[in-house]
Amino acid sequence: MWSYTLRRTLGSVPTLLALCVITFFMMRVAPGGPFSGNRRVSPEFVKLMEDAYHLNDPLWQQFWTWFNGVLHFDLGPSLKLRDYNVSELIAIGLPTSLEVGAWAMLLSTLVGVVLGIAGALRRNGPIDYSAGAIAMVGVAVPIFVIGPLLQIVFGLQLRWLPVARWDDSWQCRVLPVLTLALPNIAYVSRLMRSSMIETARTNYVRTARAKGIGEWRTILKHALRGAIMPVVAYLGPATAVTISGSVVVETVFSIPGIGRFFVESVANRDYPLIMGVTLLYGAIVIAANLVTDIARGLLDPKVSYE
Amino acid sequence: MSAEPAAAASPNRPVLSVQDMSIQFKLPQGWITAVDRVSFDLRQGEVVGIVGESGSGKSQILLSLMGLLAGNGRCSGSAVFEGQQLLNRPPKELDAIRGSTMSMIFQDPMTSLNPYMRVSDQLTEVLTAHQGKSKAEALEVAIEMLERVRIPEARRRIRLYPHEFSGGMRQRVMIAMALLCRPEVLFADEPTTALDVTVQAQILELMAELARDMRTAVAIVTHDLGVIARLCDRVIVLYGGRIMEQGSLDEIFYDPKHPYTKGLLASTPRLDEKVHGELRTIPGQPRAAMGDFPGCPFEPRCALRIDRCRAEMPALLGDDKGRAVACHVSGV
Amino acid sequence: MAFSRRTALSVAFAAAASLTMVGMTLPAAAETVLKRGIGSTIGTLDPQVNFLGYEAWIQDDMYEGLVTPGADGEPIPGAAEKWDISDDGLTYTFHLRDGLKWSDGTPLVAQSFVDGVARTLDPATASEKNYIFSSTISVTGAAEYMSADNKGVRDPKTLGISAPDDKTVVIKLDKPAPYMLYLMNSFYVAPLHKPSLEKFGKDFVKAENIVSNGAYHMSESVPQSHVTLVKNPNYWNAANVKIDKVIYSITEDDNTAIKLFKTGEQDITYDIPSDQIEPLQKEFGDQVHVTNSTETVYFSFNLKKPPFDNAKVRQALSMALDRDVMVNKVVKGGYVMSCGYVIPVPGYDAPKVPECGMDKAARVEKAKALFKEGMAEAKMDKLSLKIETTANASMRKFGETAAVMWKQVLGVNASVNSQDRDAWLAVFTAGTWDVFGDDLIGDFAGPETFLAYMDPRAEAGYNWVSPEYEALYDKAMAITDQAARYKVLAQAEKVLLDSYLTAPAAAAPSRSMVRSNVKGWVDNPAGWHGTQFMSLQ
Repeated sequence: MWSYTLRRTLGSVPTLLALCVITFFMMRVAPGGPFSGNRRVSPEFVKLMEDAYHLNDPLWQQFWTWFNGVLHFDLGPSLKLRDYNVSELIAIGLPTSLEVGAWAMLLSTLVGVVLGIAGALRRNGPIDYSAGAIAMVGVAVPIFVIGPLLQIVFGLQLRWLPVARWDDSWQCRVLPVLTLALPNIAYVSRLMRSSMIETARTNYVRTARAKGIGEWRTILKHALRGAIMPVVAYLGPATAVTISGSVVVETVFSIPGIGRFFVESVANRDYPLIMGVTLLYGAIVIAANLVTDIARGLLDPKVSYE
Repeated sequence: MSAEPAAAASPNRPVLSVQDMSIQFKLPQGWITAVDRVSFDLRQGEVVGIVGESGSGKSQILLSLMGLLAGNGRCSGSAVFEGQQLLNRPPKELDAIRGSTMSMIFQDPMTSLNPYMRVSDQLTEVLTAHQGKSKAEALEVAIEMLERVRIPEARRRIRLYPHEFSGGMRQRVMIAMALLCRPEVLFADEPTTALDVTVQAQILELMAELARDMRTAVAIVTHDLGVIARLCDRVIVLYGGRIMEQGSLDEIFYDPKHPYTKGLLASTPRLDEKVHGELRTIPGQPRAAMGDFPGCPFEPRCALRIDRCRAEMPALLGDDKGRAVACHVSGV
Repeated sequence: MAFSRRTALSVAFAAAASLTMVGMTLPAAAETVLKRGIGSTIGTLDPQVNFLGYEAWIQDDMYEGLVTPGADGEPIPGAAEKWDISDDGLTYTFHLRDGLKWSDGTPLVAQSFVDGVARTLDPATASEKNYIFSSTISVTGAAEYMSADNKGVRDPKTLGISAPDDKTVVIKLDKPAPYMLYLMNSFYVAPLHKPSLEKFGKDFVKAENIVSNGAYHMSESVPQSHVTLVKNPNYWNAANVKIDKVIYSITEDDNTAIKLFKTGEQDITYDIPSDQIEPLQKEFGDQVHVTNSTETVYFSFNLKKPPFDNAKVRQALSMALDRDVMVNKVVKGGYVMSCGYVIPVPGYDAPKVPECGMDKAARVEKAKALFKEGMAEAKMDKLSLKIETTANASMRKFGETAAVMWKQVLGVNASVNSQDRDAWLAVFTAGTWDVFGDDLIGDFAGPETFLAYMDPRAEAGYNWVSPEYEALYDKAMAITDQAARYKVLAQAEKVLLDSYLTAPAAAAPSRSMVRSNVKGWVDNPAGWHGTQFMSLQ
């Protein structure tokens, strides 16, 4: 398994490289630059500043300079948040985003799996219908509607939770994590439910029942193992969804995470920050997919690593 | 004449006694009867074969006895095993019995074994659940049983996953799994149908040997008369969910009475026949919803039918040694 | 402390919330904390580099320039207690107070102010504020100092700013600048603490290293989150600073900021979403502050593109706009209808475009007639145009309303192209635009800064030629008396309006929610609200 991991990791390097190259050249297509936002500044001075940051060198040379920096773990300075390096900004924002994202993934997986199993076992019962209703809301209503709605209900009217704050308290994590988790809860629970129904009909589950080991053991040991596979496979892309959703959650709940940096860096034409965060997101998505594939391999004995 | 197959006549008392068992399924068009008032006994150490065409409801009999009937089915009647009623019991109560004193092997061992679990786990969980053995003890018993079913290098192989076994070996594993707790009764649903012919013979031989050694009563359901011939002591012929004829192996094979039985035997190709012309068949098709008609279910296809056959269901009549026929025209 | 009935719960909640948020233990005496919202990301807190409005607020609390913007925005003595202006208006001598100190206790000398300006002008600093010293005011030697050609050794002695002794700062100008004092505050002239710059380099503005001279001192800065300032005991006027701590939180989402105000977690918001102004006014009354800002919104026409090179066509387009409907019925949000270019300034008698006084029927008729004439002169019969705006919701509404009005009144086929800011500027620079949904933020609340920008010599992109305007502007800038100067500036503005290079639209608002227990907030167009003038009741 370790050689498989190593091979996959090495194999992802060309993907990341392609991602960087495409992003680098695409972001230059947008008109304007980091210093062109102020009309009072003369074009000569804009050029002066751009030269100071080597923005008028040939593009391939700029890419090479940046890439060289990456190899030395230096992602360059931020052109807009000039007090910080890109690495510093990532170091500040990433743990926060990861924390919210990880909680959201954990919550959505657990709740989604439980709801899905419950729905499958008591089909068309009250649990199944309420789970289905939650699923529909989670899929149909976008998180920039759900987030402020939760803020109004729990923050403004009930005053149970803070409206938008980020510190060490657990209260400030509840609403953002819930908002981010809801779409995934929806997908996972529906996926789990149908997978569970299908698995419960298989011959091997019938055999397990025939062995008289008890209904719970049959469900949890036999049916679940097979039913969980599609959910595990979904978790890779789900991570990507969660990461991109974090931008909205961070804006609505004023969370200092990396998602907000990312969106603003595009509007600001903050090239090093765009590249740094793109590289980071790419690495995260690739890592998530790798972990998912390994998990599937561990869970399904028919998959072997060549 | 009494319709009861003899119960107390033989020195072996019945381990399982099924009386008037009927199974119905709810379909969009309403309830249809799959099995209609079937009764039979199973004695200690005997192998009973239930033969009939596909879709004749024979598998459902076994599944109902094991409490595995589908959600849209219902069964009525009585099935007494070890002094307890089996039919319509809550699953929790059946769990004490199935897998330990009463077990079942299924048709397709590839899909009937859990592909995500090691064989060792699938075997040991039967022992830990029913006999409270520790994992280590259970493993030893399981390895011993695998050796008994003639799986070479059992100690190494037990840790493999089902897909790493061949078809024949998987069925051996199933058999081992079913016999771990030395059940009184073993149900087998088409155990060799999914295997190729050479392997079939081995499996059948193994089953015969084990049943004999462990004094397990076996009820085997199949459409293959060759399997019946190899394994069974007694045969029950089912058509349209009803017993058409029953008797000992020799009686059925060498002296069949019911037109359907005769047709079945006649349509089985034999090695010692000269090959000429087409295969013999029983004309006509099995009809759907067979149990819901008042007359004999075989009547549309029967060469010997008379008017009475359509109007009235023939009763199963026989002697007190277990030989019986349900036909207006032929009798014991 | 007496809590007013109305906000007792909010303030209590605010105190509790602020304590949890900052995570500090409650001090023995209750500490007064002010929580302010600051909109979106702070670019930089480097005093010689930052140039955004909200960065200026933090700067204003942390640093003090030669003068300080008072609570009403007018300059009052800051680090300098008095100053002399030479008769020709070209030399300013600032006399610093006795005993000025940095926040770390070391003495603050005049040379630090000189160093600050020199650093702003140094091209290596890449500060976008440098144009202030070369074009808004013309400090001697500034233009050469900041020029790229002057590589190598930059001798600060060539600059027209110097410190002859520890308590005197002398600034020499090439041209008189009567509004000079507006530019002598901390935003432009913050002193530089050289030792920390040399020691920490770029990191000298981080909270653990920073040394400042204002009423407050930075204790914490988390990017994307907040900046915390605490009272600076070494400030010369520390005795009169009543609020102990001020926390500036980044609240990008305006709707979230309003919610935070409602739960008491914020006392002052940075902005108010325009569609919520009316309901908030109903609920919070005078805690909703909507006032003029130094931003003016207008439409510019591309003089190089027919038929916009025809004055009658331009005038017709301007006349076709119903400004009352556009501003008061469609855009709303606190925008105030404008009949000229410059924002309303007390004492400035601004000229107005004639259509402001006309009744609707007459105005529309005149517009149609002018349009017909102008189009005939330009030898065109159909006009299709595109209005370039930013993605800002209000600017888009301006554009869309203009498009509808031009279509209705003049039959012009108008569409709006709204895009992100950089793309919008790029279109302007490329000169491919027809009509530009334009805006200008003045450096201070005076007509000089607006009219300086529309000077044909200032922004070449308008392609406007007007020696008359240039002459009037130069004449005005030589007058030191404000009333007299304003009269001549008004004449210059009239020349601009008559040319119809631009069609006036509105003066943009500055909007904030300010909790009623915050005293010392004075609405002013320049938007100066130093925390040192505020107190909490």
